[in-house]
Amino acid sequence: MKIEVRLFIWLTPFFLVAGVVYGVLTGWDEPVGYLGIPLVGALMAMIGAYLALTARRIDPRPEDDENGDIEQGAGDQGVFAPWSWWPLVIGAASSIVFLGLAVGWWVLYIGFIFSVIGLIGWVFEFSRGRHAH
Amino acid sequence: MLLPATAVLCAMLCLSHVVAGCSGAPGDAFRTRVFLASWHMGVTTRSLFAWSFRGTLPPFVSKREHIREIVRKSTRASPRSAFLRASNGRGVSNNGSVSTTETAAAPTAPQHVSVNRPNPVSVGTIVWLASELMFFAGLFAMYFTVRSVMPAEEWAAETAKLNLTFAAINTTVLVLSSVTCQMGVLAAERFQPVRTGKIFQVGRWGMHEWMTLTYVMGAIFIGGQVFEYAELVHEGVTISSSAYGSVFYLTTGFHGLHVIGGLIAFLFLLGRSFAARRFGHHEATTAIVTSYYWHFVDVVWIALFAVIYFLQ
Repeated sequence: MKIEVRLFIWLTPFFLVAGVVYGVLTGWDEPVGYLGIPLVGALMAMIGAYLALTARRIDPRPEDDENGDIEQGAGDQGVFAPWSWWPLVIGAASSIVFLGLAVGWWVLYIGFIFSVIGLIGWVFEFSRGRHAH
Repeated sequence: MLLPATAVLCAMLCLSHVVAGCSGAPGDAFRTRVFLASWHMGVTTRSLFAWSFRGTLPPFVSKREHIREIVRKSTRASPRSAFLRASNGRGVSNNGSVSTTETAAAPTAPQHVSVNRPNPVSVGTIVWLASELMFFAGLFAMYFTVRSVMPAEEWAAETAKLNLTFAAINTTVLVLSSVTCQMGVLAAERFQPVRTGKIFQVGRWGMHEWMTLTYVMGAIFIGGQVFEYAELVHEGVTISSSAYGSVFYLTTGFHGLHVIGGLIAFLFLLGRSFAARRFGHHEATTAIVTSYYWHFVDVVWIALFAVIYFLQ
């Protein structure tokens, strides 16, 4: 996973330096820039460090191998839900919530009720009924 | 007409071999067998049909399509059963995350070794948390901007009303809850949902006990925050009283909302675990990503605490 790790890790020092340069140019007078830019570096470091730790824990993948073939990557790619209606419910509920912000508080409460139903349905989708395990 | 018929025939043939090769309980062994049988049958049937229908046969469906077909037929349910079986596989990872995986590694299948990949749920959670970092970066930027434009003595008059001792105790509770959360993750990684000893034998606790304790500590933190807000409002610091009040309540308030979100996540985690007859990767992954979120919120609080109460 060298590429993924470097993509993020190598941008960290860039943003830290950019933050310092920004601070110097603005006379350390404008906190949004000299705080925000280094924190973008922290964002990069966070993802990069996690990928680096993960890379140490797993075997090299076919895509890490210069001479790898596409078919070596066959098999499990991860666990994914093949289909689900719940995101649609949550999406609709969120629209009602935002409509509530625009129209009136009472709409918001209705939206909350649907959000709770959608969220619970989504989280427990693969834990109950036919999919109980 | 001929082609669908051959496809069905082929699938049924494979299915019969799968069933014959399966000794009973669906599980990993079953999954591996499904895979091996389908692969070998795929090879043999392909050559068989290629020979029988020379020149009339289109390219054979891909290996993965083929396997998907077999699994679909063999479960007689939607493909989601296959999803669940996959989420219940064996394969303990050492510290850190549970990886997605392993049909493979059967010595008889040199053609195919399934790849041990990063868990997409964990990676996705980290990427999302990185974006959350940017959200809090905005709040920090707001705090320091207001601090730089507000008259110093006015600012100092407001910060003097903060109760450092109380906040420090509250912070300690939250930091310790990260420790208990991590203990819960360790229990989840050894697939142990419940304790094996008495309730006070902490060393034998499972994930439920540790996560419940974490939940209680998080709830104590929120209770402490509410208490602190009440005190400050009593002293006249409200969200609309001054610019300091606004940034104080916005930063700590958004953090508090995140902690509440974490508490809800713990409820969902416990609910999933209670609902599962067999504690598997599905539940362990939930525990791990919830802990990521909790640690993140904890670290953000340490930064907020240092800025608001020490740096002032």
